[in-house]
Amino acid sequence: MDSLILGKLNLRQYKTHNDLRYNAGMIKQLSSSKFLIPLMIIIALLATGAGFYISLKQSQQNNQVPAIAGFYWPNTKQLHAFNSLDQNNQAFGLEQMQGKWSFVFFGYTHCPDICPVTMSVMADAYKTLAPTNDDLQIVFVTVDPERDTTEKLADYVAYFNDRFIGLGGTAEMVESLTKQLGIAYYLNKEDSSTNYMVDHSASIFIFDPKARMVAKLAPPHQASQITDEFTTIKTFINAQN
Amino acid sequence: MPRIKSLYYTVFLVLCLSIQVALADDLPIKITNVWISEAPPAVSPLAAYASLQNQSSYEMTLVAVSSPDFSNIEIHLSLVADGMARMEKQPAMTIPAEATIELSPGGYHLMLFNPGKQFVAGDKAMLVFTFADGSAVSIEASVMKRNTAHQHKHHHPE
Ligand SMILES: [Cu+2]
Repeated sequence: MDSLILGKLNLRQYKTHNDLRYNAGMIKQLSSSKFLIPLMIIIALLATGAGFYISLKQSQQNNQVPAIAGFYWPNTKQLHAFNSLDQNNQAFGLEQMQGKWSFVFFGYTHCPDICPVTMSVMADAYKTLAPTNDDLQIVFVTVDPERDTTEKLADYVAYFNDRFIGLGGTAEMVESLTKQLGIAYYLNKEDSSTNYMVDHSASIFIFDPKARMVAKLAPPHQASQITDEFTTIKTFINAQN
Repeated sequence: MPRIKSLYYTVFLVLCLSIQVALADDLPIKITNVWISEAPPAVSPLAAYASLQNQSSYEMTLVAVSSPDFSNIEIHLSLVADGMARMEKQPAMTIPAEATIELSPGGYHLMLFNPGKQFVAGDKAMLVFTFADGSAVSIEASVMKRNTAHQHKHHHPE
């Protein structure tokens, strides 16, 4: 900006000179001239304007809802009380979701393809995110608690990451979470007595520290995409407070 | 007598082996990258993946897979519709002429029920693939850990 204005003055006053050396000489001349004070005012005004413009632009960006498929904002879903058991047989409810960011996936351990694929993608994403997000927890919820005892869940989640949480308990306990969120699943028990398959949600749900379901990430899942989308969502929601 | 018996037995074994080898060589289907994904402890069924390349000018249909290490094996397809994941048992799987079908995570896979032991990465298991024309081939599958690199590129472990 300075050089632009100086250049203009330069042109007006000297017509031909635009070499820096001459500009330097010109400043010397200007310092003693009547141009100095108006010039300083113009620069100050322009700088203030630019600063204002940049901060306006930034606040607009903070308010602009990130274009992420499955991001519910502003229609988030508030989680209410539920009671389940974690992999250590400890009560796990709404309180354990508050103050933390959570990735939640609903599946069953007798699922040999989609579930372990999703769990290992979440393990990769967690490895990337954990060092800078100590408030992040990864939660696997069984929709087949009859076969998936808490002991089984402990082995299952620890296989992917020893900090992962596995939720189960009784069928009613699991329903206390799935029903309020509208998570559908279906146990194909007619197939066979013990080897039945379960239809379940393939999405990863993101909850914020206020225990609001803020996003549903649909498959196919990729660790890099999950980390990017989570970081964007977290930055956006933190900026809203 | 016992000596003759054991001779018969040897001849029988040699015959069996040579038929097996002949089948594997003549089969117009090349089955490669056969691997079983390692699962968390005590978790079953397991999933197996492979690449089936039909080099012939006619279609081939996989009708069964069996193994001494599992009670039964099913051909499955994982599907996601309206956000719901489910697995569909396939009665058979047809590989069109000169086509390749990949069994890969999130798609076609073999469901290996009731493993005889806990399989960990590095273990091997024999899988016998049987086709509609009666041909069969047995292939050794390696147990491997999943890594997300080959889950998404639909590539296979080296
Ligand atoms: Cu399956």
